[in-house]
Amino acid sequence: MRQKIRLTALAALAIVGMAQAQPAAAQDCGTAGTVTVAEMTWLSAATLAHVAQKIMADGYGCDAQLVPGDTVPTATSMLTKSAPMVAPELWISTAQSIWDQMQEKGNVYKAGDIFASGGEEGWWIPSYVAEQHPEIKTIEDLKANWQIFADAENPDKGRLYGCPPGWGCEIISNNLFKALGLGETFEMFPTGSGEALKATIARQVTGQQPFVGYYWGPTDVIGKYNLVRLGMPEFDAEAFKCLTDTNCADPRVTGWAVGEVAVAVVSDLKDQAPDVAEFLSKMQVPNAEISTVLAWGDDNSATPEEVADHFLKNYEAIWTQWVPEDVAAKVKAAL
Amino acid sequence: MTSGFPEVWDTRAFGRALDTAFNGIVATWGEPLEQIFLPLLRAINGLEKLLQLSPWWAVVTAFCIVTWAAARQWRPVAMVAAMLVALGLLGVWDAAMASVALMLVATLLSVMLGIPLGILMSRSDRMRSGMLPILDIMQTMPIFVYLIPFVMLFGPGKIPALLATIVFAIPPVIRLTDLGIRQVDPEVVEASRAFGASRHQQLWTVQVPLAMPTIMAGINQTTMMALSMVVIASMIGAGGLGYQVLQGIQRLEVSRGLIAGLGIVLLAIIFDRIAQSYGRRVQANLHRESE
Repeated sequence: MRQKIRLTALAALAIVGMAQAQPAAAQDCGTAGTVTVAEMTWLSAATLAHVAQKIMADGYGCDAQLVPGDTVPTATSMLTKSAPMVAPELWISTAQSIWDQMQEKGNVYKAGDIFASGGEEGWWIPSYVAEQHPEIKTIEDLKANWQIFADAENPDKGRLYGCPPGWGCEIISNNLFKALGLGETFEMFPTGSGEALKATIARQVTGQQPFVGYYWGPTDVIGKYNLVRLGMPEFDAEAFKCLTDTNCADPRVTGWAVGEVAVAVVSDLKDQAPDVAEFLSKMQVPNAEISTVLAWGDDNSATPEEVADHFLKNYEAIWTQWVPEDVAAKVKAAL
Repeated sequence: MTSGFPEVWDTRAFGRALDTAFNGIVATWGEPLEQIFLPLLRAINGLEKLLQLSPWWAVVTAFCIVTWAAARQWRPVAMVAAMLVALGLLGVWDAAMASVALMLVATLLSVMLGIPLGILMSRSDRMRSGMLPILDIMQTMPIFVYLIPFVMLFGPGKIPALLATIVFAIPPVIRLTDLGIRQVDPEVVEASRAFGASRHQQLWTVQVPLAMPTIMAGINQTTMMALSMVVIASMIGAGGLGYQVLQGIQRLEVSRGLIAGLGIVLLAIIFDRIAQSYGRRVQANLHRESE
């Protein structure tokens, strides 16, 4: 019984506290309602969600809440129910058809590109391989230098770690493999899943073994294991379109399309909270820095929230440009 | 946390120490381990090539001979042949053979390790009480918990897939060997001892033959569990039918997933028929002898 009373008292206190916070909050935020931010399953998106949530809550005084999600379910929910209201890292190509419907319906808009250089996909090698073998600079250099990447299981061919089955990149990688004529000296090794690919990179880099394979950035993996992307020719839209087709008859070598990764925002938020929308339109992180931040998180097995704190504390130069000075001061004070 | 559970020890520091230790193991032992398992990998690859490069009718004939040897009946033989032809008709022959190679090696190793362990368990209660919790862990620990570390240790591909399959599939054969031997009528064992059988003779001429139907049931379950790991194993690059299932799900190509899934079902039926008809024959023989 005593516990019950104490709980009630606590609840009452909480309500009083909230009531006091509310009026001050509404001034800046523009809306007294809850602003929901999608927290995706992977580290970079979860971290960015926490960053956005903290700036909204501490800087603008919004009632900002995180909701768990993943690209396709979140995009679907944003399209149909206009909730969650913000998705800080939405890979548009992953949810292309839903994105097209959103544009048609007009209830979700792209506030900006979250990554300064966009999403980078391609074939990567660890930096120590790049240093030991300066002759390998581009994907065209692989064919002649296959010996470096030969594996004990099949010493006659180099091993190129391919993209997990069913991902869009699998078809592109396979076609690019064909276009480069790599079949003569390389085998495309199936990695099975994103987790296995990550574990493979971890293994090869821990043992300072050679590695060449598909990955994408910005990710903790790129930052943590210092992967270098092999150079590719200029992006050619037509050639790339053929690469994305399983039945591409004559694949030609071209650069990988830059991934469009948007800060996706529900249109209502722009009317209700123009200041917050302004901040979201400026929210952008440089690829290399965010990879480093994520690698820090992976090294310290930090939660996304801790990584977000780390980012806000140590990378002020980046995020203070997104918000007015007084908001930045409030966020800093809350850290 | 809100529950207020006292923080007795620093889990995070422990976790970090564990991760560092594991990374150290990977750095020092990763390469040697891969080398150690290279012959096994060659064996699986060899079997896979043999099954894939032999003409299909040769493989079907070989399966039929094995089925006949196990069942001594025409019905299961015809059944197995029909299933194999169906696999070919579905257009998943090569992938199916890759899965069969991995599964056969995994099952073989599971049986070779599992039956001796089961026998040891049946003979010593202390061994049994030590083994049971380990078997429980093997059967309940989520596969991904050890799958990904296996990839880091052995490199991606068939070896970690094989080891994960064994960890997952070996418990039934161990448990049922132990159970089968323990269930043999103590009076029969007593009688054999009265006739002067040594412990060794008791085991091999009385207990194991009488436990054979139960042991066969264990082997059958192990085979099925090894087969059910096919999809999971392909998530770490083992290839085979599971890979096509994965491709199907990821690309939302229902047809591809369904066909490869059907292929797995057909394989399961084939191996189940062979093992079951063998088990039935062993049991029938026992009855005949006891009468």
